[in-house]
Amino acid sequence: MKNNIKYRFISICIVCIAFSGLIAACNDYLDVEPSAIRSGDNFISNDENAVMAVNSVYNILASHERWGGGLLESSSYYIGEILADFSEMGAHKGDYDDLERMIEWRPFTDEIILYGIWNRSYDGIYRSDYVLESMPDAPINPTLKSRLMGEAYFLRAMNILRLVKVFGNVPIEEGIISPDQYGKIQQKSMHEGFEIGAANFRKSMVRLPKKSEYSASDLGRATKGAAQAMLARLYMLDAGMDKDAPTTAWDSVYKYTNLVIESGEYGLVGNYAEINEPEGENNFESIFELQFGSSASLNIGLGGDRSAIGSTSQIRCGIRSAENEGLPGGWGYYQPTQLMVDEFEAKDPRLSCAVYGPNFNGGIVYGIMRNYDLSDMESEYYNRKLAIDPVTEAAALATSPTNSSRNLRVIRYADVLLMNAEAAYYLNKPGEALASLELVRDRARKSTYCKGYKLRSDKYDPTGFSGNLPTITASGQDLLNAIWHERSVELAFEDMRYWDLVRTGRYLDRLDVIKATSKDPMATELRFANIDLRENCQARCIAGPRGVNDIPMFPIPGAEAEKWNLSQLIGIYN
Amino acid sequence: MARKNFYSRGFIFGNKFVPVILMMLLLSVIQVDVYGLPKSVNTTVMVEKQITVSGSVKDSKGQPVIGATVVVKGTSTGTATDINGNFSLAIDNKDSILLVSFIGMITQELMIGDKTYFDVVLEEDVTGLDEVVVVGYGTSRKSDLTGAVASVKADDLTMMSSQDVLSGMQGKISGVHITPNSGAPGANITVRIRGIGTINNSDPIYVVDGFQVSDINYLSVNDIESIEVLKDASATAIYGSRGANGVILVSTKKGSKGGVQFSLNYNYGIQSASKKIDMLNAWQFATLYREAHSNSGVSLSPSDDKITQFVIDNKSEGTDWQDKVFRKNTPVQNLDFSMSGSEGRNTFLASVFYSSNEGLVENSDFSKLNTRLHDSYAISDKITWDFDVSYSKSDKQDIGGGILTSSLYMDPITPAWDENTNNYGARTFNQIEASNPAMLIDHSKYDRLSSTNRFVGNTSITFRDIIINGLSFSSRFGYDNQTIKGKGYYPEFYIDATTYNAESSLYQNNRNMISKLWSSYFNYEKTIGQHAINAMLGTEMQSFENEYISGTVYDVANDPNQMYFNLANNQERKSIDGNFKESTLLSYFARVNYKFMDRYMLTGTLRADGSSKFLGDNRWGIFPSVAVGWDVKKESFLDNINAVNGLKLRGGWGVVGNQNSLNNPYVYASTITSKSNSYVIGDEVVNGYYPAELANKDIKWEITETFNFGIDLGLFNNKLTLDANVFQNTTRDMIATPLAPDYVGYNAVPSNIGSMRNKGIEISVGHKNVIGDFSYSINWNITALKNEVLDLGTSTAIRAGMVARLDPTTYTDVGGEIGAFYGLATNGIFTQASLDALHAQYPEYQPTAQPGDVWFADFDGDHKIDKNNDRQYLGSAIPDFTSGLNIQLKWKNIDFACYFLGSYGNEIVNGQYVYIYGSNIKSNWHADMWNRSREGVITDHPRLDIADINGNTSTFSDRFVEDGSYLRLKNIQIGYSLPESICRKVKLSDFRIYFSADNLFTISKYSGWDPETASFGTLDGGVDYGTYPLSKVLTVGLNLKF
Repeated sequence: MKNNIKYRFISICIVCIAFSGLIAACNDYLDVEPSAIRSGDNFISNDENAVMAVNSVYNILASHERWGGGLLESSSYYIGEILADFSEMGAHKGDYDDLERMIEWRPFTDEIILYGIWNRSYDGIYRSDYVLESMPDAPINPTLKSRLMGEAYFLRAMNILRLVKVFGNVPIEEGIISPDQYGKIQQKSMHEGFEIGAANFRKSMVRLPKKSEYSASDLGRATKGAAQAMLARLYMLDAGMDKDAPTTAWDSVYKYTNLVIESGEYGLVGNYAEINEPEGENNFESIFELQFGSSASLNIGLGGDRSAIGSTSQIRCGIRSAENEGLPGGWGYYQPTQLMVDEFEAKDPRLSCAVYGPNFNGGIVYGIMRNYDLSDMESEYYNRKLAIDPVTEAAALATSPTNSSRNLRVIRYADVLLMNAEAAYYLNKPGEALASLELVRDRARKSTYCKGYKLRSDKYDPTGFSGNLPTITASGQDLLNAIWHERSVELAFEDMRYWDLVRTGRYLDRLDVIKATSKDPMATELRFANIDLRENCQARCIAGPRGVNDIPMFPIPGAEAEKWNLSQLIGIYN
Repeated sequence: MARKNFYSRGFIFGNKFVPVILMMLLLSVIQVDVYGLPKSVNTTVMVEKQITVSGSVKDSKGQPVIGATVVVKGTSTGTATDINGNFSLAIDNKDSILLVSFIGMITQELMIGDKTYFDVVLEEDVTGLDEVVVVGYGTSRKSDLTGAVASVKADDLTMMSSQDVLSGMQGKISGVHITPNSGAPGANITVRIRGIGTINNSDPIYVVDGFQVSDINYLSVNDIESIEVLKDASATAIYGSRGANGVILVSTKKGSKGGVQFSLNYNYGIQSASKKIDMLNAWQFATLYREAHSNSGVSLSPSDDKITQFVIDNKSEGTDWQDKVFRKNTPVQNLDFSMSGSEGRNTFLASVFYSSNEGLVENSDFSKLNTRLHDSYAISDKITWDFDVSYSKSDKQDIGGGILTSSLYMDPITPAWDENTNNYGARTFNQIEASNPAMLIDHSKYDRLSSTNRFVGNTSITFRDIIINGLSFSSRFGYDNQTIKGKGYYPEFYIDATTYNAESSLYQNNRNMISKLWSSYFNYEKTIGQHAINAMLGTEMQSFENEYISGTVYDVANDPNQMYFNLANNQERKSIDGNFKESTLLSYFARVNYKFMDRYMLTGTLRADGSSKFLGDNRWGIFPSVAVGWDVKKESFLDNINAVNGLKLRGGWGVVGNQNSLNNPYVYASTITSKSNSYVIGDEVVNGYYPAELANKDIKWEITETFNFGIDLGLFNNKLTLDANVFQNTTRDMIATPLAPDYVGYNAVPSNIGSMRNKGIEISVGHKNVIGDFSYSINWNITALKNEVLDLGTSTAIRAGMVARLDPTTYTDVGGEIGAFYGLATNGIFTQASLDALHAQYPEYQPTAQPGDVWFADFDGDHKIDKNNDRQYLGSAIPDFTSGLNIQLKWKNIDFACYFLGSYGNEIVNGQYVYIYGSNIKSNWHADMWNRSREGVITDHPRLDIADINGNTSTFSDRFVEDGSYLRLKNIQIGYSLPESICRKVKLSDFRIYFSADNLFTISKYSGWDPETASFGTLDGGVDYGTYPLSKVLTVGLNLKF
């Protein structure tokens, strides 16, 4: 009997174990909550996360191309300036084959620069779409929600505009693309692309607060003014590049520039020389700029994602050498040409803010006489707007080439004024055009030399000029030429030169000038002596509003086009 | 949220209870009274006319046989032996015949007559076809098997000096390919059963005494009783979603009956490199260095000119870097001690195992301590409780891969230690892409340390004959907790302007993995006339957790006592990381074995697995299998053919899954990036997060469908046995990451898009014989396998196997083998004549080539060479066949054994080729390059050219691809056992000493260090990155029992 009790005891124990399981019985053993991940399905569920989701869209602006090759925004000047007449590639032949082929207008379909523009822009569109799809039903403060959606639309439009102007006909869908749509997406025409971009800017415009309505801690976010200014720029490009552009394109430029001007949120700063200096960041004139930081200026330890917050542009464009006068050496890209220097009128203080070099002002930059090696240069000049500031930047850059905290200006008030002038010209309001133009010239007239123009100076040295930059009184085509000229000097190295030449139908002619002038300072032979730039480019042009093939197009990355049934606008890219 | 689950799931799977388990337990409880008291039942039902017979059943070693069946022939009257092997049975008729049987032993028939007490000795059933093998959730007589199951016994595993279980299995089983990932002590071992079944995880699962574990490193060879490998779906389908890559069932040793027995095994070995690669010495290197420059029209810098000329003039030998890296005669030793026995109702075994290996290369030490305790307690005749705990600790020090290759690449002119600077020798030439290996070894002193602590506990209770005879119930709970701690230190140092580390760093990490299992099943055996049935029904719950944390700090003193996070001097620079993964699996399974007339067999299994990794309709996978067997020998037409002792034909089909194909358990949820995608706003870094990939809510099981046909043959009194299978495994719904357009902006998520097939044949032949005092056995097996990728969905070909910054060398694409080698083929070396002839016709064909350059083959017919269009198949790591041969001889007290391992028809990409046969200067050269092509001489090796304009060696070509076939004597061993008479005098039951050698010789054309370790990868198998080669080990050892 003793055994019997024992086995009963065991049986009771087993029943108890079983029973305790039954009490808690629920059928969710297989329902494991995902751990240590944040799910995108419900991430935008509070204000803080919603802001972070939008921040990730901004990240694209400052991020590196997916496969290396520098910042996405360096592609803005690769195309926006280096392909135009005012800049040489710089560096050494062979240093950047991709860019060299683009300059010579014989790009392959897999150029890393183009690939970077393509994939990073789409990454940004997707991140915007994620915000725009998740936000409407999320329990977010309504004011914040509206602003964040406005930011997402703004950035979406920025990415669309970048794609449309570079590739022409690209796929753009509403919302996130599901796997069953891969390869089945219809490309939009360039015209549709501009329209979609405009629609996105408009959607952002009605949601975004004014610059003054943001708190200081939100400095750098997209504003209503930025949306208006970019919309104006979009229409200006549309008017010059899109054969189906609406006849009202210039009306739109006029309308949106006026909205910016009348908003009272922006104005010209007194001294042009300050604009591109560190102290000129996010100033009264700035409408939108890419915000950068360095691990030094932001005191972030390792573990922060340094590569995405600092800029490489300073190192990329610095004097090519290992080290120079105790300052970190640069890679020597992006060098101003004599054509640019010649474009400036006599006694224009802005020239000193655009270039420096061995044969210019005694080689002084930031008050220091630097060493140059002409055999290391493709022109006699370096780019002053991206020069390394020895006080605020040199130390950080010595640690890492991605460590520049200098913001890159995207659009500023002077550009809005010049767009306004050009629109007024086309709308037959020459008086308004001259007035806007004069505002820009007057400020330039009164500006100082660039900071540290004189040896051992760290100040804005006065020019002592007088009678310079006379008021324009021209009319007709001369007035238009004067506005274009003003853009080219006022906005030198602000990534607009190429687009201004293309949209005004002057680019192919300028290629002839480049071919006739471009050469290394130490060389006797012209750089493009054996390359027919114009012919190469024209073979890659589509018809624009002027009815001739003068709008150059770049190839959609070949692998992408091939695998996903995308057609190239230009036959030879197939 | 997940935290809550974690705790509530707790020790016994918490609130997640399955009604089926409950039912089983209730059923078993109801019967406790009856089966708990078998004796009293017997006594009360005894009627007067009956007589009682009793007896004891022992095996041939005199150990009691517990649970042997004693029945009256032709009736259902019967009993089983108790834990002392005794039985007692009331019978009606003294003319009856008693049948005494036990699985794995030859059944005896006893005439009762007037005898009432029987001493029965059951002989082991040694005929190969009748051994008992463990199958999933139960055992089976090998003769009843319908699936492809192969066994290895303990004795076969212990030969290798490493005493590693998997190393011991190498080459012993057909269809099972076992490859050490490297020769470094404690290196992982890759096991592939019937080929690489998927581009994902192809590791089999291990089931130790019913407990599923991811690996068996916590067991030592002497813990193993036997290993069964389930190869086809009819055998593995009972493991359902975990069976696709095969199942390795491990039965551990249990306590022995009778008195306590101690066993001691010890061996000590010394190891040295099995091969050295013949490199140029200093003056030869200098000669080629100068030649490469002059060929390219580049003048040497004045200092290089002086150095090289000096070295040549003095015929300097320079540094032999391999000698600096590979040590000689480093020790490896293993000690195993165990105690086993029985005491009352307990049988127990306790063992401890210690192993240490100092490695060929300094700072690659490995040591391991395993302890294990097993106890089996017979609660009653019919209830057994088993308890098994293991603790294992291992410490491993890894060297970086670059150290070994640096010993080839480093120029011989640089000294290991520079007396002038009192520092490691600074690299003499900048082109050399290597660092001073002596320095690297020194730097790894406190680097890459990993320490594993593992506890595995496992308990089960078995109830036999519940409700009715033949019905048993088992419930098992298992717990496996493994913690791997990693630590590394990289010191601050300065050698020259390009070889320095400005700030020391220290990283530490900790990974904790817990898996829990609870399984319960019923088993029922019944024979009715010509029909025998064995059915099993069960359920199982498993959970898996994996938690990881890591951190790195900077500026830490170079002193092991200071290498802790709190002593980092750089307070600014630090990083931490961590993650956690969890998944659960719930399963129901059933198996029926049916046998008719003792010769026609049918096995059907069905398993349903539900996994937390999948949602909705995809959550549950159903894995069926059916197999038939025909024991032809039992047919009358073979009765008179005495030469044939056994002949069985088997055929089976089944579907199994691979739940390990999905490493990320949360593919169904879109995952927000773990790293911030920051931006600067308001002069502050603001964090940005977004889902980098979409969710795939449709993700489902990757499945493998298997066909298997087999034959088992025994001839001439089973002196010759043959076992052969042909099979085809087709993996479907293979999880791969499809290609997504860049214009979608997100990363594609893994989807069920692929398909792959392995077809093969495997044959094992055994022969054994006894001639007087001499006995021998020879076992040979061979496996041939063909792999084909059938589908990759929209995914592009998968490229892998990057060596030395070349393009990826392998290419996995539809229609080809997994990880096939793709590159340019070559037509040898250009002579002036061949080059002129070619260029006369096709001036665009390698336009810059010169005599002595490599002539690449034009594949696409455009008479130009373009590495993308002219790429072609150059071979693969999958052998035509692999084979193992084991020979064992015994003469009186002397035993001898050896085994060979071979692989034929596989290729290896020699990853060092680009360097040591390089046309340009990246490293020292192989001695063969002394015979390079040069002015006026054309050889098999290209000319030197510092720019390698022709891409002789900077383009991946068939020149890198070598025949990887090899035949290796893995082990040879000779032993001597003391005669039993002497043993008895010194109170020992067994005493054996032996001498053994591992990897004594290898026949191979492969020019790298080791053809064996180069081939383990999945997508880059056969790409030799310069792996730590296996050593030659000479061992003396001792086996002792008392």
